Parts: sequence; C-alpha cells; structure tokens
Amino acid sequence: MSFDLSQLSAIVPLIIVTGMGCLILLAETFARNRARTGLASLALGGCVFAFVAVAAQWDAAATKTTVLQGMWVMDRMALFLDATFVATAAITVLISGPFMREHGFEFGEFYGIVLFATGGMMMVSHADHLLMLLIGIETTSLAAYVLTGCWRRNARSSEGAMKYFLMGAFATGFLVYGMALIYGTTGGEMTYAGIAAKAAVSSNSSLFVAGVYFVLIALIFKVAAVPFHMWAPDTYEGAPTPATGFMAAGVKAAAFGAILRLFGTVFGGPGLPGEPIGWVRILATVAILTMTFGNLAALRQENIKRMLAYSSIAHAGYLLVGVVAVGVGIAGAQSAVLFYLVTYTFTTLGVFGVIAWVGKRGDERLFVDDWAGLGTARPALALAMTIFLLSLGGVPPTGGFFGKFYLFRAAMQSPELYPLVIAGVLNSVVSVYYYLRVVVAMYFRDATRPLDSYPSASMRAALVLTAIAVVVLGLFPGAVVDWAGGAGAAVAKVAGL
Amino acid sequence: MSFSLRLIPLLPFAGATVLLLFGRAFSRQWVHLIACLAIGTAFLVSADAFFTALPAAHESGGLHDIVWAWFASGDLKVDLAFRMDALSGVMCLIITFIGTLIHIYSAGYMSHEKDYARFFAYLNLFCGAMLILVLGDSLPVMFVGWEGVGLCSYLLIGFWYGQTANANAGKKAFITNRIGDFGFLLGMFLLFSATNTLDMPGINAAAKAGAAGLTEISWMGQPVAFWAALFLFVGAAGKSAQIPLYVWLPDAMAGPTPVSALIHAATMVTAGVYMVARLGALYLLSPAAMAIVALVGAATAIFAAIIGFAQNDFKKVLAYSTVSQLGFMFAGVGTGAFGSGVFHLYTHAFFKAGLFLCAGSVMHAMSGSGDITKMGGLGRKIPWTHRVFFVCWLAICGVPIFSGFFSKDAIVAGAFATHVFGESLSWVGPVVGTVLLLAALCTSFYMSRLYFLVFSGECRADHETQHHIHESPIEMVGPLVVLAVGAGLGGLIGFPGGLFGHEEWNLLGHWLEPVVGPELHIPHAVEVTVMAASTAVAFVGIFLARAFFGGGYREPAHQFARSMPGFVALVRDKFRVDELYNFFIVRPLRFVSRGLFVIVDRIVIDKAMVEVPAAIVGVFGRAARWFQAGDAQRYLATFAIGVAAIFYLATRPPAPDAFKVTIQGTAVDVDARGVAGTAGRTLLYDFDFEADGTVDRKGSSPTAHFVYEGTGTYVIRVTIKDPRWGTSTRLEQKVRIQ
Amino acid sequence: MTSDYIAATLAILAGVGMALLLTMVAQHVGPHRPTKAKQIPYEAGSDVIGSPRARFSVKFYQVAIMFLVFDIEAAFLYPWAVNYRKLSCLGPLQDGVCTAGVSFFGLGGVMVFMAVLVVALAYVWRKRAIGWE
Repeated sequence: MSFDLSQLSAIVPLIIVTGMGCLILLAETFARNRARTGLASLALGGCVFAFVAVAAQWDAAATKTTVLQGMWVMDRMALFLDATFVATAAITVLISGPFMREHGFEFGEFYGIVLFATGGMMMVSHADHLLMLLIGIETTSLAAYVLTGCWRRNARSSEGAMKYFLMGAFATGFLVYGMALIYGTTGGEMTYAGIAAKAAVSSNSSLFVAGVYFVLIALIFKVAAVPFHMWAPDTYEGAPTPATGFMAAGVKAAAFGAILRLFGTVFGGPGLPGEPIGWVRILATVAILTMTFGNLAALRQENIKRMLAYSSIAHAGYLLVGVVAVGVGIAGAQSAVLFYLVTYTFTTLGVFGVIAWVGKRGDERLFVDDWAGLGTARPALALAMTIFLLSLGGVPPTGGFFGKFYLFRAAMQSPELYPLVIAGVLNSVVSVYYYLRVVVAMYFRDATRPLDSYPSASMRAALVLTAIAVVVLGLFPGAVVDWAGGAGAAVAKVAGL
Repeated sequence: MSFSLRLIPLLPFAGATVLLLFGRAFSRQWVHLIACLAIGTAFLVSADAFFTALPAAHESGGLHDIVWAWFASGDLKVDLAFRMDALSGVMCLIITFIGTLIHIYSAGYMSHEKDYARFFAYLNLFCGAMLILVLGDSLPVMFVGWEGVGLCSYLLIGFWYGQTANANAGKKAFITNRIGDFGFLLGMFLLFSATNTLDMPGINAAAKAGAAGLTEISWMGQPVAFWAALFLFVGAAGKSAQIPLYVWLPDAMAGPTPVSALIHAATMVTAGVYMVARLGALYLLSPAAMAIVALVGAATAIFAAIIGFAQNDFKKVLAYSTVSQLGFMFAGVGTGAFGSGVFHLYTHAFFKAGLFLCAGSVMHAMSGSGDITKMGGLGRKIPWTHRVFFVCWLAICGVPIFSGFFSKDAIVAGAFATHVFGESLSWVGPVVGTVLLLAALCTSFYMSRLYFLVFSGECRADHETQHHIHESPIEMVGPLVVLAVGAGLGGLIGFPGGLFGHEEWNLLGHWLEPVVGPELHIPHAVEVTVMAASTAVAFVGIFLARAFFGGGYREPAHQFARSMPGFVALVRDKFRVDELYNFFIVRPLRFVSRGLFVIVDRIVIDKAMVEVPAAIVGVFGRAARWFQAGDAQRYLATFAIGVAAIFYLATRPPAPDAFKVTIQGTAVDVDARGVAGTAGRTLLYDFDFEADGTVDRKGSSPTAHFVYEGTGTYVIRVTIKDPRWGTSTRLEQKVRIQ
Repeated sequence: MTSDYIAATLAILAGVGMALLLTMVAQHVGPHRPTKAKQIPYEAGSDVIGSPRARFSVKFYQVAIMFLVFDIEAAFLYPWAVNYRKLSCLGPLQDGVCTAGVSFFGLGGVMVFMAVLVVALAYVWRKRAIGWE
C-alpha cells in the first residue's frame, strides 16, 4: 500500500479536533459533577492547537497535493476554510458555556459535538473524493442534528431537530443517489480529478447530468437555498442560540466550500469540461429566488431568531450569485465567495452571540419588542448588535459591505449576470429595513421590562472578538482579501482537468 | 502635496466618541464645549489647509492624504485617502463653519433637553461623516460618508423618538435614501467595470480621455457613461430630495430645528449636487444624462416652490423651499455650470441655515408652535431675529447685492448660454432657464408671504403665548447675525466680474476652475437680460405677496382662495404626492404581498398539497400519517416539488423564438445560432426547407445552406433537439423566393 | 453474464416459492377444528392481562440501538481481516506472500478504529446506557 505515516501530517488539524472531541466526551462522563468550564477550556485549547496546525500548513499548501489515496486534498482553499471553521467552533464554545448554564441545561457533550462537526466540515473542505465528501457532510449533519435538539426541555428544540433530521436524511438520499449515478456513468470514477477527466464525455448522458443535479440539490439543501430551505426557520429558531450561530456560519461555509470545489472545477463553467450541463442557468434562478424569498419573509418576522434565519437564507442567495459567477468563468469569483463567507461567519456568530446574551432563564427575549431600550440599558451590547446588523445589511465600513462589494463586483464583470447583481443590490437595500428595525427598537424606544443580564467574561470576550473582527474586515480587509485570493486561486480553473 | 487632511474628519469623530462614552458624566457646559471645540478646530484646520497649503498645490490636483491602503486585490486598489481640491475645500469650509455656528446655536436651543450629550455626539458624528463624504478620494470612501450621514440624519430625525411622527419620518427618510443608495452602488459597480478604477481623479481622467469602456454603446443605444451617470443621479436625487424622491425631506422637519438647519438644509442634502459636480467630466460625456439632471432639477425647483405657497407650518415652508433651491443647484450642474451650482450651494447654505435658525428662534419665542397663521407682528418683539430673517429673505428672493441674487443669476444665465446638450437637445437650456425664472418668481412670492405673515401686522396668537414672546439668548442670536452677514455679502465672492471685464473678480469661479473647468462663457447681452429679469421677478414676487399678505391676511388673499378653492386645496395638500405613492406603490405592494401569501400559503401549500388528485394525495397522505410530525410532510413535499422544478428547468426544450434567414437569389442561408435558450447546450438541428417532411440538412451545426429549384413561397421548418433529454422544439418561417 | 442472473433468480424464486407453498399447503391441507380455548393467545391457559399495545420502555430501544451500532461496527472488521495481509505489506503481495517488508498500516488502522469504539463504549457505559436499572 502506498501509505506512510508522513501523510498523516496532512490531517493533523482533523486529528486534533476529533481527538479533543473524544477526550471531552470521556472527560464529561468520568469527571462528573465538576465544573463544565473545564470542558470548555479543553475545547478552546483544541481549537487553538488546530488553528496553529492549520496556519503551519499554509505555506506548504501553495501547491496542491493529494494524500490518502486521493481522498484528501491539501490546498489553500481548504486551509482557509479550516481556519474559518476552527474560529467558528472557538467562538461557539465561548458563547455556549454561559448560555447553557443560564438556561439550565448543562450539556457537556455540546463542546465535543461542536468539535466533531468541525472535523466533519474539514473533511468536506478537503474532500477530493465523493466518499470523503459524503462522510464529511454526514459527520457535520449528524452533529448538527444533535446540537439542534440538545435542549431537551425545550419543545421547539426537539421539533427543530426532528425536522432538520428528516429533511437532512431526505437530502442525503439525493446526495448518495447522485454520487451513484456519477460513479456509474463515468465508469467507476469517485475522485474529483477522475470525474473531471470524463465529465465532458459523460455529460452527454442524461443519467450523469441527473446525478450532478442530485448532488447539487443535496448541497444547496445544506445552505438552505429556496426551495430546499423549509427546514431552516424551524431549526434555527428551535436550536439553542449558540448552536444556531454555529450552524448558520459553519455548516453553510462548509457546504459552499464543497460547491466551489465540485462545481467550480469538476463540473465547471465555460471553458471547462462539463459546461453543457447547464447548472449555471438554474443556479442563477435559485439565487434570485433565494435572496428574494429570504428577505421578503424576514420582513414580516417579529421573532428575531426567525428573522435572522430568513436573513441567513437570503445570504445564501447572495453567495449563490458568487457561485454563478464562478460558473460563468469569472476570475476571482471564488475568492469573493470565500471572503464573503469569512465576513458572514463572524457577523452571524456575533449576532447570535448577542441574542444568546440578552435572554435570561425562562425569558429568552426573542421578540423585537423585547429589545426596546437596550441602547440605554446596555450600551456596549447594543453597539455590538448594531455593528453586526449593519454588517449583515452591507453598510460600510463593516466587513459585510466588502463581502457584498467583492461578490457583486465579481458578478458585474459578466453582462449576463447584471440581472443577478441588480436583484442582489436591491435585496440588500431592502434587507437593511428589517435589520434597522432592531436598531430602532434598541435606541428609540424605552424598555418595557428591566434589561439586566448575567455576567459572563467568555461571552464578552467572544463578542468583543467578533465585533472587532467585523470592523477590521471593513477597515483593513487587505490581509484577509489576500488570503482569500490565494485560497480562491486553488479552486480556480485547474490546468489539465 | 500632502497635508494631514485626516485631522479634519477625525476631530469631530473624536468629539463624538468622547461624548458617547463619557457624555453622561459631564456637565452641560463641558458637553457643548467639547462638541464646539471639536468642530471649531476642524474648521481652523480646514481653513489652514484651504488658504495656506492648497494654493501651492492647485496645479497638482490638490492636497492628498493617504491614510492606509484600504483594500487591494488584483486589479482593484482603493486607499482610504482624502483629497482637498478647491471643490472639496469649499465644501469643507461650508460644513465646518456653518457646523460650528449651529453647534453654538444648539447650546442655547437644546438647553432644556434631557439627552444633551447624545444630541451633540450625533451632531459631531454627522459632521465627521459629512467631511468624509466630501474629502473622500474614491467612490467607496465617499460611500462610507454617504451612508454615515444617512444614518446620522436618521438618528437625529428620530431624536425625539417618543413621538410616532418622528419615528415614521425617520423611517420614510431611510427608505427613500436606500433607493438612492441602490443607484449609487450600481453606478459605482458600473463605473468600475468600465474604467477599472474607483478613484475620482481616475474616473474623471478616464472620462476626459473618452475611455472606450465609457463611450461604448450599451443598453437602449446609450453609452455606458449615460447609465453610470443616471444611476449615480438616482443616488443623488435620493440624498438631495429631487423628484420623485423628495418626499422624505419635508417630513424630516420633525427633528430638532438645528438639525434641520445643518443636515436638511445646509450640508447633507447638498451631497448629491456635490457628487454630480465632482464627477462632472463623466456627466459631460453624456448630454442625455445632463439633460435629465437639468430637467429634473428645474421641475423640482418650480414644483416644490408652488407647494410652498400654501404651507402653514414655518419649517414646512422652509423645507419645500430647500427642495426647490436644491432643484436650482441641480439645474446648474446639469447645464454644465458646475461652478454656479456649487456657488448656489454655498450661498444657500448661509441663507437657508439662517432662515432655519430664525425659525427655531421664532418657535422658541412662540412656545414651540410653528403655525404661521397664528403669528404676525413679531418684528417688534424679537428685533434681532427679525433683522436676520429680513436679510436672509432678501437673499433667497434674489434681490440684487444679496448673495442669492448672484448665484441664482449665474445658474439662470448659464442655462440660457450653455452648449453642453449639443444639437438635438439644444432646447433643454432655454426651457430650463425659463422654468427657473418662473420658479424664482414663486420663491420670491412664498418667502415674502412667510415674511409678511410672521413679522408684519398684528399678532394673531392667543394671549398666553403672546405674553411669553421673548428674544432668544445670545448664543442663539450670535450665530444668527454671523449667518446674516454671510447671506448678505457672501455672494460677492462669486461676483460676475466678466461683466466689467474683470474675470478675476469672480474669486470662487477662479478657485474652482482647475477642478470643474472654466466658467461658462456667458454673452454680455444674456447676462444683463437675465439680471434684469431676475431682479424684476424678485420684486414682482415681493410686491404681489405684499398685496396679498402685507400686515396679515388681506382681502385679495381671501378672494383668491375663494375663487379657486380646488387649486388651493390641492397645493395645500402638496399635490397629494404622498397619497399618489400610497395608491400606486404602497398599496399594490401590500396587495401583492397579501396575494402571494394567499397563493403560496393558502393555495399552493394547503390546497395543492392536500387536494391534488388521488394518487399524489395517497402517497403524501400515507407519508403524512407515517411521519406524524407537524408540518414536516409539507416541507418534504416542497422539497420534492423543488427537485421536480429543477429537473423541469434542466430538461426544458430549448425555447427559440426565431431564426435568421438570408436570401440570395434562389439560395437561402439559415442561421439558428443564438436563439434564446440554446446557449451552452449541445443540440441537434434538423432543417426541412420545403416543410414537406423530408429533412434536408441535419446535424449539430446550427447553420445550413440550401438552393431552391424554383421561385415561389416556401416554409422553412427547423427542429431543434436536445439529445440528452429527447426534447425538441419546432420553428417555422415563410420565405418568398423570386 | 445473463446466465448468472438467471441462476440467481431461480434460486431466489425457489426459496420464496417454497416458503409460500408450504404455508399455503399447511393452511389448506391441515384440519381446522377451532375451539374457544384454542383461540385465546396463550393456549397454555394463561389469561391475557391488559392490551398487547402496551408501550415498551425506552430502554428496549436504547439497548437495541446500542446493539445495532456495535454489531455493525464489528462487521467492519471482516473486510479488514480479509485484507489484513495486503494492508500490512509495504509493497504488493506476490502470490499471497509479502516480500517488501512489514507495514504498520494494517494493524495501526484497525487500532484507531478500535480506539474510537472503546471511547464510545466507555462513554455509553459511564452514561449507564447499557445497564438496566
């Protein structure tokens, strides 16, 4: 067998997060009745080590290499996403501890499962083989189902988990069926390179094309694109708030990573083999539907969590514009999507962090009216929320502005995509309206109930971190843009494919 | 040449930060001291930059200060950089100088306010954002300021958030401005894809050079420059309250009066004019875009002025007057008289700020009421306010020597003399000029009405209010007097020296020349005629108003109202534009959204999911019973329908509309390329040239050549097949072979 | 090719057919003399107590799931065992004999797998999921 231990060095970050996950599970059961903060520190430590390991691989990953029999690809795009996932996990860990303690469900496994999900996302971003993609997506999804349903005393949490699980299982069926069709019609190819080599020929087969569409459907289900979004509002609303942030940021980023790699290179756009598949056209329709539907539905919501669930659907729509731009062969569109993912990750985590911190036991304060007067009662928290909401709405000088700026600028380079850009800009203009409703409630209305909250250093640390990240991404996006550029180049059109 | 321009916006920002963080701990004296100091120092720095450093840098494009490389990726490089040339310098001086005066005034006006520190923090924040807007060297930086001032305006309109009207006004302003932002963003993207740069000098240089990307003909036969200019003008119209986006400004008067003066009269609302002047070279590329700007400006000028006739709220009159004056400015920049537009911006900043602050002072005296039907005879009771108002009134009416006269005259004369519209649109200039003269007449009339109703005759207020009438404190009157001096004599800075053979007497035009190009050359005859006409117009307006309203409501006013009650009511209701919007936009939208809800929720999901034919119902019904989990079955059904829809889209036969036939003698060439829905797909084409059922040419080539044996009329039938899904479409076309 | 499938189909048909046939034969050929005593669920004479639709304790499911999970994990060991020789050789096997030297991969891989299983087992054990209290 062509295997040696040195190949393991490529998956060190994965080993760290999953190993730490196992350790946390054991620690949780053996160190019963101890403070759960120890578990959080373990998880945090795992994230830090994993981050260091990812950073250490960055230089070497300038050229793409494949290890483990073509299962695992090492390139900057995967590492860029890895770093995002690890950061997502770390912030989720910081937020979730105080949240669970306050709401009285000390679910120690939470941290372990977050790390397992992170491992699954890494598999997705590194996958160079359909099976690895499947395993990664399933690992992530199973963990996400548990995270959604882990607040057992809360009926909505169970409901959300149940729906998510049912729909997710359905989508996985499509994924596996699609993979089987691709496997069959390409004559037994499972590696991306192998499929890409035969895509041009195979795309004359309707079964192959059907397989590609099945895979596409399964992946856009994970990002909650219309019409496969139905689970998102219930799930996001029901899940414990930190888990919502984790899913909205991390799971979405992983799925977009897979879409970029699979549809950007293997099933590519013009100039790439497989162009006649025609998915670009369809994804463009899906993108417009997704952002329009998400924003229109969010306009009517009174529940902030549900509103943000719809807003996250809308953001998937903007990101799909970037994917369409990748599909028509615009250089740099990949980087724009990746940069957008980073800004969206921090913003989303921050926004759900604030929501997690505003509520108290037995009183989650999820309605817009509940937020009245936050501006005077807790100015720093209100300021953070304002920053996040403005970033979601794409108002400068926050990171969200540049995310949208790069994305739409990339799409603007092809006149065919003008309708998409116009729809995107119009939608983001509309979206600011409902984001600002929360701001108005916070600053312009007087509190109806006292707004005090439990003290928490880790919550504060997480929110300060995310708020700073969002502002820095808006003021000094240079470094991250460069990294995203390197990462995007890794999945740009690859010679010889 | 470099200069620490960053200090100018940084100072107000620092003030805002300090006040927001520690404001509640300071006493009131400290609060306004900090705020005034911040903006005052910014004025001194601007003045230093403008008068000492700038003259040396005139030739090299002005002072430039790169704070940091904001973002750079591939071909896109934008610095967070500031640039002060004559144009942005003049704007800077206006903003900081008038800003300082209004800060001082606010110290008196808002002295009873609970949230004193927050108010001053927002004011400082606004000034900082506005300075970023004008100093920004690239469109993204400008957009930061653009959004910033919008946000501050929103915060300040809603400052007295207890009142629903204010919150609603804030919302209205916000939504209208977002429409404008939409235009700004699209314009920005378009400019970038056309010129590959976002720097103002870069864009202007590309426009001056007539870059191919800009002059290329695009949609509807207009060059790219036209669309970019038009989109940006949508942004400008939103911010500067032009037809049809002006509706927010009158409502914005719900905010505190100093805010109205600073934001909604002197500075923020002029941002659109500033932007058009800034990107003048771009606009000059497209006469059609210029014509739109000029015509919209002129239409707004007269439209808002007419609405001003019948308003009975002091601030509302001034608000419509602001909309109208902004129309003058747009007409100025739209006719290529960029210098004149900016000149009017400058004089307007003085007299309108003065008028608003007088309004504040009057309302202060009248126990907060702004109803002019209840005023009158205030001239004797608040003499200083009266004197200041008198000067500003003459200025806005355009009485010679006062500032408004020169600037308005420059715009009108420019409109008559301009050549920017070219041959086909040459009618635009004279039309705009005439409309503006009429608008000037209206302006003079409604402003005089305001003056006579408020200051002349007997007081119509109730006894209680009359008793309390008093002159405002010194910190309010002081700034008023300074503004009055500016409103009275400020126009001399743009003195039309050309008339006397001394071009150099026009200081402002001289300063602006390197940025916006030389002043329009206006023939003496035109200049003199226009001056005479506008002087006449100003006096006619004043005397008419005096006949109607001198010393209170006179008989002619009543007669007029009685003879045309419908018209007066229509004007008083602001031509019912809000109602029109409500009827044509808001209600249909609500209707559509409710309809969508009914169709999607009630019919598609409830009915179609539940009551479709038995087979499907059976399948889903069984699934539903099996799952027993609330709505999940509907979700899955939607999922399945989504999959079906995607496959329907994917397998849909190509939907071409027509193919191209070229006839040469008895030979025909058929070209089915590029018909809709065929791009990017591998298709097979069958050509049947006689429609007799035998395929004459077939294969994957979309073109075919055929020679008919004789003349006559034939039908060509083309069948396009998608081999992958086995779908096909058939097209037919008749040809006559002679 | 096709002939293989025919044989397999025949075998399946024969298997299923035999089962169906025997059931039918038993039903039709056997004597039917039902009495009341024979109709009760427990012919031995015990009376039925309560409804047969009683809810099972969730513990049954828990144990069943546990069993399934570990059972399937154990099943993964078969393909590993079959390929153990190949996996433990640095080079390709020649006639089933390894000449290239020993690789740790064969043993190491399954050790990692077992370690994960042990962690899981320890977890469910400590959570008292496999006891019956």
